Amino acid sequence: MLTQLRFKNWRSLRDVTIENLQPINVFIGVNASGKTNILDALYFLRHANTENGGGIVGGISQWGGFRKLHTVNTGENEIELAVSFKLHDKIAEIYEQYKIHFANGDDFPILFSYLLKEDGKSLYNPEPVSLPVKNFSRGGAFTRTWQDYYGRAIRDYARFYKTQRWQMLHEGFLPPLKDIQDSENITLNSIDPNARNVSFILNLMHRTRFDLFSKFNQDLLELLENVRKIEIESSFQETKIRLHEKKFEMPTVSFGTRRLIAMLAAMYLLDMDLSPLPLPYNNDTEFDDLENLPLAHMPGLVVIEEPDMALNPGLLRRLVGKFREFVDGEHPRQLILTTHNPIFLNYFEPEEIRIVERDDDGYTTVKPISKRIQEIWFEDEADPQALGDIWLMNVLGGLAD
Amino acid sequence: MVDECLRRIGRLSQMIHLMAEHAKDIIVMQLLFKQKFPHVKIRPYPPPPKKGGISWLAKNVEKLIITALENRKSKHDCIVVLHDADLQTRPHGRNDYEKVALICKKYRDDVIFIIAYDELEAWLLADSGLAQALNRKPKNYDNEIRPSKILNKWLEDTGRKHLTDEKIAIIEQILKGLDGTGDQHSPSLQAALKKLHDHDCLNEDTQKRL
Repeated sequence: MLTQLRFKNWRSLRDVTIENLQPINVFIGVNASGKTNILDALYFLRHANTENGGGIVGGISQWGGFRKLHTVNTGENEIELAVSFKLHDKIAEIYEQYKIHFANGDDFPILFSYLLKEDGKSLYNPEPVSLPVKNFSRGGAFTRTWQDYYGRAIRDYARFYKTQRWQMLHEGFLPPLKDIQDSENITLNSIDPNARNVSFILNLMHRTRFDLFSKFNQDLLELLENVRKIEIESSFQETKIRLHEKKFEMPTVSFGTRRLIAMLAAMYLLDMDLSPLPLPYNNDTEFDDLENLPLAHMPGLVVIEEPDMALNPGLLRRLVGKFREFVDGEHPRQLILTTHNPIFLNYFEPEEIRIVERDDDGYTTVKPISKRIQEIWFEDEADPQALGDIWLMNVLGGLAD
Repeated sequence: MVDECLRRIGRLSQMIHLMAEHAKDIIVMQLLFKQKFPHVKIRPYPPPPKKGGISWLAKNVEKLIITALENRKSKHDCIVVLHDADLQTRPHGRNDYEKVALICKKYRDDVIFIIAYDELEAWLLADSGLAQALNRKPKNYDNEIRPSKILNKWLEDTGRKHLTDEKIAIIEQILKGLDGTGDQHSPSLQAALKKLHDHDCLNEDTQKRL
């Protein structure tokens, strides 16, 4: 589970640390306050760890280079992104720090440093490398000491965590109900941020994990009272999602329904792969416990921008209830969400909320609801208050004037 | 260099934490403040939709003041509490009014307590720009019974919607013409503005010190 995020000189995040992340985290703030910049940093980190995405160089290029990535007017030319997380009972808290030093703006070489710590102690800290390199994570000296093997094993775990356990849906995600088969370009171990690959993921789930598909179907029917069943139809040419009403196939499927399908697919995708994690550097029996960790048992993270969008307000309570089932389930997921909807916010707890605002200099700040505010507004049992109402009173901040 | 100057000017801006009994009052005050104190930022604390009134304010004002104290970035930020006097329409059963007054007194070092006589609408009826836009003459309405009724009549006569909490989305259209000159005719608005001017947060010297 993610415990802390740190951003320095990343877009509008001049110097921000978000501590004590909860199983559910809901970011609220006015439009253009920096919420998407936070989530985009996570997406960047995931992307930078995938080889087919071109690694960190591919990430820098896809995100628009130095001028688009970097906070303006700071006089500094180094971006720092750091994440802390807990992966396993036998591994202490991991801290991973990425630094990208743009000495000459967008021009290469760009200096990249990586630091991995376990419980505050340095575990893996290769020499900084000059980009472009084909695969940044293989850079640095390899001394073949036990610590080095262990550090690399943990680093690989951390990479699995980010690339296969982080499922992310961007704000405008909308899965197509019909998609052309194009096996070369389909990713099946993570959901596309725009949800373009949902039909393929559901098809795979239907074929290989029917138990999960049935649960997915059941969840969907619990949320959508007019839907009787969901079917996946796959041929050599295309894969289709079909929804049936009580009496006939639904002729049209609304944006909200399609987004619900994508959100549930992202949740269930994390349970699909039960294979043990490979550890390429493990030649030593001392890592046995770690090696036996199946991928599906590694903590999952689901990031969804505005999950409430296009959904009926009456459905929001049940959606949050469903989220909580996943968070408290056998293989818990952690959620990071954003919203502008006070009705949706009513179903969360004050400690789950992060307020994203701009300071007087225009940089993004992120803060939890202070203990004092929690005490006076939410701990009076004689006068219970809905979080969304309190937000609308501008007590929490993050509300447009 | 220019950026740095602008940044510093931004830093100097003061903030008024504004709380009132009705959402429409908050927006009216924001419009007035925009005219009178354009350099000051407003952080409003409106009642939630379909709530409000003096009972709501009495119940929540202390929590709101503590919240504003917690949220303010500088001790020079103002906290303003506003409500209607309602002396003409509610001469008895003044417990909620007294409770608000007592709490504001308790926090008097930090809170500017403003009462609109007899309703906030009197300040609007005294505004030359609005009166002209509604084909009327501005004057002192502080001692009139239900200035809100008079204002709504004026609005109705010129084809505008009534000023109510339900119409806050179009309040700028309803009050089009308002130029912030109500203090020329309304002694209670004049007194309120003097209180604000005299307070540390809007005092020019404070601005310079910062």
